[in-house]
Amino acid sequence: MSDTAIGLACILGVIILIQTGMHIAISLMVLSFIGIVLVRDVNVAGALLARSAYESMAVDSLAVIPLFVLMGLLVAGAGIGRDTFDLASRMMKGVRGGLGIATVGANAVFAACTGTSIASASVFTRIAVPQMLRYGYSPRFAVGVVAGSSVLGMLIPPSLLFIIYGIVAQVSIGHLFIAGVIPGIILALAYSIMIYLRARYDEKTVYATSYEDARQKEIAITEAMTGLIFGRLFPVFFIVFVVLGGIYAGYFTPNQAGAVGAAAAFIVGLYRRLFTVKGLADIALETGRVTAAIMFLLMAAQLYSQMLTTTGLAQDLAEWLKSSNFSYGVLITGYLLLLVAMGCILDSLSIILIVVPFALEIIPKTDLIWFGVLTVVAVEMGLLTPPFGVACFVTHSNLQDKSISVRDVFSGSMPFTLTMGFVLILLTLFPFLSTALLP
Amino acid sequence: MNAMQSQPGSAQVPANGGIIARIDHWFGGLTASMNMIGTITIVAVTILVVADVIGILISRPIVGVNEFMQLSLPGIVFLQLANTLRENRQISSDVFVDRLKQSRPRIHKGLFSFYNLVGGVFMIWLAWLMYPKAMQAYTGNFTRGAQGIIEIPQWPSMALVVLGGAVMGIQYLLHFVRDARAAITGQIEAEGSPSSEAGAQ
Repeated sequence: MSDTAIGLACILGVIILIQTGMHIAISLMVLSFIGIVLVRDVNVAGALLARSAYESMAVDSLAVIPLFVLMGLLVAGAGIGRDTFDLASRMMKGVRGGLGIATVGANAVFAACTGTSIASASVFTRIAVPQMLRYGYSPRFAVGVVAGSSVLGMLIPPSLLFIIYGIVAQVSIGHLFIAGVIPGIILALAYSIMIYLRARYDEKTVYATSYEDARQKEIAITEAMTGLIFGRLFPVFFIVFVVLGGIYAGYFTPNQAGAVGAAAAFIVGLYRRLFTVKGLADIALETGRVTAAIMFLLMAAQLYSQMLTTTGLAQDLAEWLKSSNFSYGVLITGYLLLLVAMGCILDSLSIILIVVPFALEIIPKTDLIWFGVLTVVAVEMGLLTPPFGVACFVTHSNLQDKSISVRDVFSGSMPFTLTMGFVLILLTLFPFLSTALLP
Repeated sequence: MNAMQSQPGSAQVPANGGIIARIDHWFGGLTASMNMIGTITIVAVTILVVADVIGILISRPIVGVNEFMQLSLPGIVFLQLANTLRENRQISSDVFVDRLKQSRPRIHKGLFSFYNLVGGVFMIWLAWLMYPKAMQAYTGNFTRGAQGIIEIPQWPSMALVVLGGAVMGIQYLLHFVRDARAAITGQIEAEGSPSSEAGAQ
C-alpha cells in the first residue's frame, strides 16, 4: 500500500468506527497512530502521540476553552436569558410574528454572552416556547424558532466553534470573534424578516389558528411580560461590553475576557440570589467534564493532523487539485457543500477537527478569518438537520410539552436552515461582511 | 451521547456484585475525586486570571499566571478524563448504534466491549509512554517560566497525565469486563436514561 492509500484507509476507518459508536477521540487517535506506524515506525508514532498528549496541551491559548465554558454556564445560570427575552418581547408587542422575532433577538444578545448553541437552545426552550404557545403560536413554529436561532450562539462571539477553528487553523481567536459579529447580526436580521414575512403572508405556518386569534389572546392576557426595569438589562450589556469590547480594544486576551466574563456573570447571579452552593458546584463540575471531553478530542485531532502530514495524503490531494485546475470558486463551493453534507454523519466539532486541517493544505492562499466564518456557518447548518441536529435534540429534551416530537422540531427549524444557506451564500460572495470590522 | 451508563455516585455497592463490582464502586469514588480536583484547578485558574487583570489595572501584574495556566491544562484534562468516560460524556455518535442496540443487544454489547478494550489498552499504553518523560522532567528538574523570576516545575503536570491516562485506561477495561460479560451471558442490565448530548455544541 502506498502512503497515500494508508492515509485514506485511516480516514475511512475513522468514519466507520465513529458511526458504529466508538468514542471519537479514541478512534481518531488509534487509527492515526496505526497510520503513522505503517508509514514510519513505532518510535516516531509514540513521540508524536506523547507530544499531542502533553506539549500541544500545555499552551495558554487552550485555556480559553474552560474559561469560556465556565462563563457560558454561569451566564445561563444567572437568569440573563430571561431578561433579554422579556425586553425583546416588550419591544415586539403588536408586531406580526413578534414573539418569534423577540426570540431571535433575545438569542442574539444572549449569544454575545455565551459560546455554545446548547446553552441557547436549552435556556430558550424553557423561556420562550411556553410563552409562544400561550399566545397562540403553533408548536412547530415555536420549537423551530428556538432551535433555529440557537445557532446564533456559536456565530455571535464568543463562540466555541471559532475557538476550535482558531486553534486548528492557528489564527487569532480574537480576530475570529470580531469577524463573527456582522455575519451574526445579518443572520438574526434574515431570520426576523423571514418570520415577519411568514406571519404576514402565510400565517398558518406561524400561528396555531390565525393572527387574529393570537392578537385577541395578547389583549386578554395582560399580566404577561412582567415588569421590565432597564436595570435588569444592565448585566447583559455589562458582560457584552467587557468581553467583546475588551477583546476588540485589544485590552484583553481571549483568556482574560473569558475569566472576567465568568466573574461578571458570577457576581450578577450572586446579586440576584440565583446561585445555590449545589448549583455552583454543578456548574463547576459540568465545566470540567465539557472541558475534558472537548480537549481530549482536540488532542486526538492533533495526532490526526500529524497523520495527514506524515502519510502525505493532504499534499497529494492538494497536488491533484492543482493539476486539475479547478477555479477558486468551485473549490470553495465544493468545500462548503462537503461541510454541509458531513453534517449528516458527524457532529459539528468533529467536522471542524477532521476537515479543516485538510482544507488548509488544499485550498490555495485565502483569508483564513473569512474562511473560518464560512466554515462555522456551514458546519452549523448541521446542528439543525437530522440525524445530528444537536440543537434540535436539545430543544426537544428541554420541552415540557411532550406531545411535540423531534420531527416537529426538525421540520419547524427547516425554514431557518434554508435561511442560513442563503446567508452563507451572501457571506461567500461578499468577504468584506466578515472582515470589515477587523483592525 | 450513547446511553451506556454506570451508576455514578450510587451509594451502595451492588449486592450481587463480585470483586469486579467492588473495584468498580471504589473506582467511581476515585474518578469523582480526581474530577473534583480538576474542577477546582479550573476555578483557581479563572480566579488567578481575574486577579492578574485587576493586578494589571493597578500595575501589579501577577508573575507566572501564564506559566501556571499552561502547565495546569494537561492536568485538568487528564484528571477528568476517567470521570467523563464514567459519566458517559465522551463525545461519540449513537445514531446508527441505537438501532443495533434495540434489535441485537448482545452484538451491540460485544462490539462495545471490543471498543472499550481498545480504549483501555491504548490509554494505558499512553500512560506508559509518558512515564519516562515525567521521570526525566523530575530528575532533570525541567521548569517553565523566566529563569530567576518564576520557575514552575513541569513534572507534576506530566505525572498527572500519566496518572489520568492510566486511570482512564482502567476505567475502559472495567467497561470492557462489564460489556463482555453482558454479551456472553446475554444479561443486559437496565440502563440509565440517555444522558443529554455531550456538551460540545
